[in-house]
Amino acid sequence: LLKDKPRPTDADIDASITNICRCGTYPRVRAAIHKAADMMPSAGLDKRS
Amino acid sequence: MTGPRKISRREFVIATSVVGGGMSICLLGTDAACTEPELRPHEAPTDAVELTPHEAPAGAVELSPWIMISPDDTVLMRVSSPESGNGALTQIAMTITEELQCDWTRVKTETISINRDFRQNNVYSAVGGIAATFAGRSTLPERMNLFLQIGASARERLRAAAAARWRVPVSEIEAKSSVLTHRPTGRMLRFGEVAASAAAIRLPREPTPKPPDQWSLLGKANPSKLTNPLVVNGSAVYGIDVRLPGMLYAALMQSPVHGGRLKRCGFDAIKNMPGVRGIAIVDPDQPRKPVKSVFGNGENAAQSAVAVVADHYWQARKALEALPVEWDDRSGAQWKTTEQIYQAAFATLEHAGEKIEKSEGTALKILGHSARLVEATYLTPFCDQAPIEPLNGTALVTKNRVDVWHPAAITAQAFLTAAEEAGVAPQNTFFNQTLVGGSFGRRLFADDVRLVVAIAKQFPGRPVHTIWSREEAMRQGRYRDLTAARFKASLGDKGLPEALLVRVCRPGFELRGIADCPYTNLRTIASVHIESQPFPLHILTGAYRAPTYNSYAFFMESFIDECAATAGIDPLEYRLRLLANWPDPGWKKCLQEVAAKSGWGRHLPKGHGQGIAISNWDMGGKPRSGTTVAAVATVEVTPTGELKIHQLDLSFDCGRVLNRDAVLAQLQGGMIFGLNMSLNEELTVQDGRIVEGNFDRYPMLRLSDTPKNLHVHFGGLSGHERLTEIGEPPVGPIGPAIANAIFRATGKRVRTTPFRKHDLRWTHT
Repeated sequence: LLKDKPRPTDADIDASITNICRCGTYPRVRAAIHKAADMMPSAGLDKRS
Repeated sequence: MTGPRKISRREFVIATSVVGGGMSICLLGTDAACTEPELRPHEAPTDAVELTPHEAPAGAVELSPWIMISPDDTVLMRVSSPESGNGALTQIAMTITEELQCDWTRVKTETISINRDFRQNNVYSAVGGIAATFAGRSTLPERMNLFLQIGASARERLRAAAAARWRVPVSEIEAKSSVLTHRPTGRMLRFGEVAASAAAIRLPREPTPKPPDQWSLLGKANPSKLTNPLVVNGSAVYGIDVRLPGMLYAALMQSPVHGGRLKRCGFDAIKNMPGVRGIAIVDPDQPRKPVKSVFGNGENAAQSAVAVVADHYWQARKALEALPVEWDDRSGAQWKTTEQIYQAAFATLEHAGEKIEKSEGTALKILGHSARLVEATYLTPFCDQAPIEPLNGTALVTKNRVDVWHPAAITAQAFLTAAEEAGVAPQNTFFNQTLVGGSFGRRLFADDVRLVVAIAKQFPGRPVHTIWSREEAMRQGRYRDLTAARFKASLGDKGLPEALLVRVCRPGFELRGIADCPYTNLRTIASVHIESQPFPLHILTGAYRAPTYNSYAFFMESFIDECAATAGIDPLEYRLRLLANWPDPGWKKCLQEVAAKSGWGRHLPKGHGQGIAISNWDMGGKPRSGTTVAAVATVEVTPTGELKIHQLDLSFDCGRVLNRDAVLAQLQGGMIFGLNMSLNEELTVQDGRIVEGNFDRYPMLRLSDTPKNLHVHFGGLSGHERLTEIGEPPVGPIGPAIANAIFRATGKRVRTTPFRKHDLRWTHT
């Protein structure tokens, strides 16, 4: 997901992450993806550009 | 292979992995296929995986059976609670660390050898007994005290060792973050430097752990789970990841109608298929020598089953599919449809209950000539826990010994069940607890490990890894029970219930959520009569996250809402009035917190609505007990009947919190679990068989279905000294909050789950 969309929106995440989690970690998965996007070097480049 | 050797995963070698003929198996009735599996020589052993990657480095010293300290200050804690993703392991490590005063960043854990407990005079369970020690629940008072004591004791011995080294009084030594400091001189020693001498020290008397208000880690820090790195990088070992040299795989099929028996199967048809080693038949009627397990006998009983054993799992699966099998369905097949079962359940509610569960005051008399009656009937269906890791386990049975690798939810129960099924003494039972890929109650009874051992013992000398297919796991469950109940109340002149009658079909587990809640205790409602009616069915039931409460909280909180609507009183206000004299401030606090944070009572467009519910898990009828949870759902129902959950808010009171983030994770997950249970889950029956076998027919919410506004609020906490459970409670109020919101939005009352099966269409008038 982050390769194709370095700064994914919630909708991008909804469309891409279709795994089943019985423990209900979805809110954390979403938050973690946003956090990872912020940490990716490419995201930093985006910010600068 | 004798002697008390610890089964080390790394060193594991199958000394007896030979291989000659397996024992002969077969024989159910005269027609059953009789087969003698021939074991071919197995491949050269490969390296066994390391089940617990946290191993203490060489030179580690055992301070006590629970704690090892290495020269580099790594502290290895042995944890007796299985980790199923709920954070129990991390919580226990935190509790020990609080008193040990070691460096949290150097804490490692491994699971305890329960076998050692039997061989070494109950070194682990002397205080609590094995059932309480080798199980979940990380914050029960007895267990908290035990773990704090373990940490304090080790710390005092480390201090004493440093004092001896420097020839100074112990009182001058401070222990902090794995460093021992001689305060007057500033000299320092690390834990790792004195661990060996500390191990030899016996304290004249045990230290007293400090009081909770002096804790510096518990309730202060929110460390993430120690298992997280393993889970993220894929090195975590669950039961299904176990690989052993020479291991065979078994694919399993049990009687499709629960309680049925295998009539015959034709091994000849598959015996030449690739990789096939043989079949194993499990006969539930075979006499077994019982060992006393945690739960009584029965829950973990074997079901009639046949398994194909092969070199690889897929070979076993394909051969099982090709195996001609005939079953005797027995009486369960009489239930042709789900509807037939539901109608029979409703019919039982027409009669007075067989058993009076509780009777206070004169409920029946008041209800006999009440001017203002509210009456409603509810039903919740069979549901499956559906943990993502399918049921599985690995066992190696040799002469007078069994070794098991298994994701048990209660290690003690699985251990004793394995010993019983193998017919060996607990001293010769070696149980390797793996991480657990979810349980939600499914793995409590250890019926899974019984089948694992029952199959493996037919292939002695070879480890056999039995895996339930998703379909097999879902159709051979120990389900959340089908439950139905009729509620009847008489409202007094202030609109509050003065008398309540509840008639329950298939009662189960202490009627949690009905008989133990504030409305039915301490005369909150002056007259209460609760009766129950058994309704025997063949379908096997068990524990599903928050047993019985997960249905009864829905019934009770829907019914209270119906009373409020009849009385014409706001549902929040109604509950506050009803609970006005309840001597536990947490209830009021939770209601007010969740109402304030959710914007309760704000104006909403047509088709939108808010619903509220409050419940408590495990209070046993007593104030300041159990965990109270209140929820508000803000929903929209479109005119075409589509239900949208715009916002879910939850407040709670479990007394105090030791790890805020761990509690938050459980509450969020529990809300989503309760949401899926209420919106989606129902197992149906056809000709006695469970129909749903996978997530195509048994839907699960995905990330995109989960409300983005899902909020947990901490303002309901009362600060009471208890540390009550947090996994089960949030499952209760979500369903009724949504049902009550649907009523506000549409005027339609949904009295059964799952909500997805209701027609919620409405028209503008």
